[in-house]
Amino acid sequence: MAFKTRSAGLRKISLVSSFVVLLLMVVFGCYVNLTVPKPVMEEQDIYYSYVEGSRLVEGENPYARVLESDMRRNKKYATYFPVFYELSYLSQLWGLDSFEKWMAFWSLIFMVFEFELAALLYLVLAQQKLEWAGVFAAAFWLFNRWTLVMVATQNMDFIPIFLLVASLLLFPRRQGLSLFLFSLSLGFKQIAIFLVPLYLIWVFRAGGSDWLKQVAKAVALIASVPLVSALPFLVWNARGFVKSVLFSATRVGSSLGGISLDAVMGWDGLPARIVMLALMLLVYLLASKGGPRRYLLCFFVMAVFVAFNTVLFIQYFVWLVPLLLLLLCEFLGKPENRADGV
Amino acid sequence: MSRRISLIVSFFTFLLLAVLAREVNQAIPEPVLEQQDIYYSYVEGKRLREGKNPYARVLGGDMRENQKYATYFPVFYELSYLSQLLGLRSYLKWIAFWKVIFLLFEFGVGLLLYLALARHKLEWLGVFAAAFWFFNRWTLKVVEMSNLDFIPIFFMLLSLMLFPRYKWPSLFLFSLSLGFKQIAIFLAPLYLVWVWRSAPTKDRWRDMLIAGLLIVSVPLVSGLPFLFWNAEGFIKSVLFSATRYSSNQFEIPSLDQLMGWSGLPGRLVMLALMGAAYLAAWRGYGRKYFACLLVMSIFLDYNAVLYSQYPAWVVPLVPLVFCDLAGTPQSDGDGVQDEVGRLA
Repeated sequence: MAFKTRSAGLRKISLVSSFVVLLLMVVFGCYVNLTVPKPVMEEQDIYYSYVEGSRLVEGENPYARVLESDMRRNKKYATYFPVFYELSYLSQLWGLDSFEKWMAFWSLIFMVFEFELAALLYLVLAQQKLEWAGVFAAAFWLFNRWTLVMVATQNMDFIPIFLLVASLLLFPRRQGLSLFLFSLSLGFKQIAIFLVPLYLIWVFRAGGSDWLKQVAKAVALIASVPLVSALPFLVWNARGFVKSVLFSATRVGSSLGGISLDAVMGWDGLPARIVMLALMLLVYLLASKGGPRRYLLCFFVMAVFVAFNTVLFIQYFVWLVPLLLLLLCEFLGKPENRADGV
Repeated sequence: MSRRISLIVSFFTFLLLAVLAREVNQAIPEPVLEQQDIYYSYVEGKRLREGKNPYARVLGGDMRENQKYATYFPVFYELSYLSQLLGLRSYLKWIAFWKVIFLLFEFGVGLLLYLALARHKLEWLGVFAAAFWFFNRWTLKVVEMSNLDFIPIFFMLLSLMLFPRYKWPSLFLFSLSLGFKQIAIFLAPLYLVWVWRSAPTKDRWRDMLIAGLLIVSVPLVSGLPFLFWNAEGFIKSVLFSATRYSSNQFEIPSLDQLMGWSGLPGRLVMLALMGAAYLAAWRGYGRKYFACLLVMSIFLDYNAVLYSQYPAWVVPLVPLVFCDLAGTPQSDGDGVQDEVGRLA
């Protein structure tokens, strides 16, 4: 794989041919996406996002149901921040009033974000003169088992993952926009919430004497989308909203293939998360000392989340994949090209 | 905190973690061990004791359907046989003994992680790595199943750590890892690439040949009796993993399963991605642990067969990538700047 080319002419040929390969992969990716056998969609998480949208259409609060729960057993409560429920509601208002129509529209959107992420990975590596590593990253992303299972189950994770990756890439040059995109990612699904301290540390370290103002601005930006989108629900039923969002932290675990430490030890609720949080704290501490690299730190935090969180769903793995691939920028590129963070 | 105090305190913290890990291990509810893979390693040892060839059974199969055939290289089957000869004849006695050994290797892996990072003046990151290793859900799963994976993982890591300074012993340790379980076999081309790149130009082919011989040494020597006994059975048993019907305990199908591709052609995408990683290493891109992390991640994300113990092979490689950033000439030979030194 000719990662580097020696002359401008060869570089152009390498860029064009790698781009052609990328396009071929996208075509093959489309074929794979259309071929992947789909399970019964009414049993999948995405169906409940449609249901929450329907509830909103009918004037019901999706976050109220959790009030009847014991905060332990999951009965498909609305647990994400509301951006996607609101979009589900709007798309139903606009005429996508049956699940089939609604799903057909959203699966197209999910696919667009899936392929955009592949293109983003390619572009960021091509920018560092690593276009063939970009082709590798795009292939890895499009065809690994975790991405494919998301395609099969039509989960909406591709949207927040794309926003997270775009945010990470933009951070050094467009901090404000980057923080807003991160906020948008959280607004869709709060899986990346454990990266918030990393963002704040980076802002703090780059803030100089103005750090307090910069950090306050960053906090406001990160909180903006979840907060603004949630305002109607906070006014409507604050208790229901807060309890719904906190449900993920108190619910009974579910551990795909493995067994989590807290399940072994019989620890419950928030205390069960202490070991995971302690390990994440060490990563934050490392970041606060100035090192080592942005993507690596994010990869570490998400790896701790996947390896330790009480609840483990299939879709959590797919968050790790693009972060692993972003490490290619930090481990393959020349030192001056690497994304060294702040 | 002075460096010496930091080292002493961090090492005691590591020891404390090891003690806690033992407590945690004991708290794991034991499944019915007769249904676990480890039971069949006992059975293969017993077959040897009875004069039967464990690798012959596969000849009655169709190379697709798994009937708990002996598919590893024979080191552990031979050790199973020897330990039964030495008196551990009942399964209960046998597994009680081997569980202690597995535990020692699990701690050994934790110690290696701590030492690898402490060497780069990152002893507290070493404590983090050990905690990450001891308590993550995949290590705990291997403990629950009493699988033998900690032994080959330990040898693989020791081999990777020793490679820059003790190339030949490192290759022997890698061979030993393969002899127990061939999961790390996809790292073999990386080792060969590193040998090629680190050898003086005139000695490259000679060094490659020696490296190749060293890597195959343990599987070959331990496999010799079985090759004489029934070569077809041995070869077919070892190849069975590549031709068998896919099976995965996560119930997350891979690309080839979804597309209905089977057998060796089903592995082509995985092998192509690995080929790209090898080629990158050959061109001098990437560092030791990151290259291994990448290759093992491809295996995990693309291999049609996926068992609960496979992620445990990737876990220790995650914290080790920090050593790549430290990049002293002794650690990975590419002389990159000491980027994490300032964190010490």
